[in-house]
Amino acid sequence: MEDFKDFLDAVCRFLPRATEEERAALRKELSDHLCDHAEFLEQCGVPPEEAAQRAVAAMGSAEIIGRDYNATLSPVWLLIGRICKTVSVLLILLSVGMLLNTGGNLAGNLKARFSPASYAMSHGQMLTQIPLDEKISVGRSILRCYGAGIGLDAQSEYFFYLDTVLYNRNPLQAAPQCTPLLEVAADGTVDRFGGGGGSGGAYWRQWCYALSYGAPAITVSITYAGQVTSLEIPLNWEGVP
Amino acid sequence: MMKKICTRRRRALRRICCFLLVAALFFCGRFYGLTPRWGLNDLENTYALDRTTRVAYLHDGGISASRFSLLVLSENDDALLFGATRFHLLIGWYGVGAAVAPREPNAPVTAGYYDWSDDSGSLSYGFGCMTGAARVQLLCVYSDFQTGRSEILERTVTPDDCMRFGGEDYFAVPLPQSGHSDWYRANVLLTAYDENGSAIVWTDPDGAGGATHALAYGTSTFS
Amino acid sequence: MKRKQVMAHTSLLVLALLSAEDMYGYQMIAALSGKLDSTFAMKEGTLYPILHALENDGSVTSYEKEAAAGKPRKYYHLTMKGKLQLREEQSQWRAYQRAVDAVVSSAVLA
Repeated sequence: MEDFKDFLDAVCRFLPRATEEERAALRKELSDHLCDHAEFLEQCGVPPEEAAQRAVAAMGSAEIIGRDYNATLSPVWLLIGRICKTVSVLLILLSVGMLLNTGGNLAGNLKARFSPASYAMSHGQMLTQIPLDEKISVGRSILRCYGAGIGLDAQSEYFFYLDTVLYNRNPLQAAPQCTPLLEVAADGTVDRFGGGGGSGGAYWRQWCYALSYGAPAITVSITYAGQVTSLEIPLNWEGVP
Repeated sequence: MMKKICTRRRRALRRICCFLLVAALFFCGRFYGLTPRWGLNDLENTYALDRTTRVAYLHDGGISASRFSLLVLSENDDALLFGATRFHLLIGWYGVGAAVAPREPNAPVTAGYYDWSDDSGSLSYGFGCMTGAARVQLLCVYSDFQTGRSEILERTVTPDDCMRFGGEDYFAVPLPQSGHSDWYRANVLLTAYDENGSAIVWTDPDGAGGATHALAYGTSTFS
Repeated sequence: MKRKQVMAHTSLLVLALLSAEDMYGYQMIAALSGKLDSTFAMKEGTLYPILHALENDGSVTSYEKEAAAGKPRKYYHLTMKGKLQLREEQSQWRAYQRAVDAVVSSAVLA
């Protein structure tokens, strides 16, 4: 089918706007047409070589076909499609990069939400545990008080401890590193958060306050931007030496 | 079996839809800081602040790190924030660091100071809101660690230096630097005066400074 | 008939053919040569730019399917938009026909 190849090449010469894929598709379609026509002529008793030549002649001018077809190919849509594809790929790559970067935040955040106690805190000698779960809004983050109790320090002095974790409402965002508007106070002692154990996703902090033996309760005041949340925590000394 | 064939237009429209979907996910996931506001969001998050309103962007190219950055002063009911945001090609605008000055109810002045340094030098800015004062004096105390000598440099802020925003007067001014490069700044002290020249607030020297560079102050009335 | 005139009518012919059933290129040419005499003889290759232009307009869509002989061919299908376009072009053609007839039938041939 050398006649077909020359004719098809001649058509493709007039398709400057076409992509390789489009050129190949048109070649195939025209080639199928030529094959069908040549086959019909052969069935009518025309010799194969003459059938091929007549099929090509019936197609008309390769230049006219090429130019007319080329005119239907819009460069605008091709450009728009290519730009959108390139930008989409870039955005996806950037997203993957950022996800890898924020993956650590997500892990810490989820731990703070679902199992804060699994973070190992040093409690000194823990004598009692008091169940607690309070959440206080701190800007766009949450300060969660998830545990408390009575302990004994190295100087054999009793202390009250409050376990907290700070994490962002958005699981992909880091926890605050500094909380100038947050104060935690108990027993006349005022303290600030200022970081803690953990990673960017969540920061754990234990607050310790001196305690007198037998005190029935302790009041912890958590102040954020003037809003005070008071936690009145009853203390059970049963079994504490 | 049918295999549908696409035209350029249909393929382009499909790619546009794909791009819009990816862009929406990208935007919602906050993967890229498209504007300096995103850098400010970063700073609000770092310092556990609710959303603030931008008062002003400033540019100070005094040190290498600040040349492609913006300084931002913003405020909400709880605090003032002054810090720096920078653009990086891979992550967009992000927050570099900031100072936060908590607002006290009915206080005539809320103020703080922000420092930023790199190998090429340092920037220091005093910032605040002085709606209740006629004049604010900022004193920078520099000391020589070795000899114990010190110098005090003054910067006075008047309403002419202020930006009017939301009915209040805000300022963000460079603090004077010591001529001695190896002296450190021991303190920043603030005194605010009313129209009659009476001091209405001044810094408690024991309470000034701290991680957030808010100028804590006490008040007293003169009889 | 002149090439330009044939081209102008070919879109209408293609839409009309496809309104009956989906067809591939050679099938359309064969159907046209069966229905029309040599007055409307057109170069077969010029069908394809017309088909592609109709596809760009949204009047037809294309898909690949195995033809009767078992070979895969690119078939064309008339869309709803194509049907509306066919109806419009049909009525334009009939109006044109009536207008031409009205003038030509009163011509005086010496």
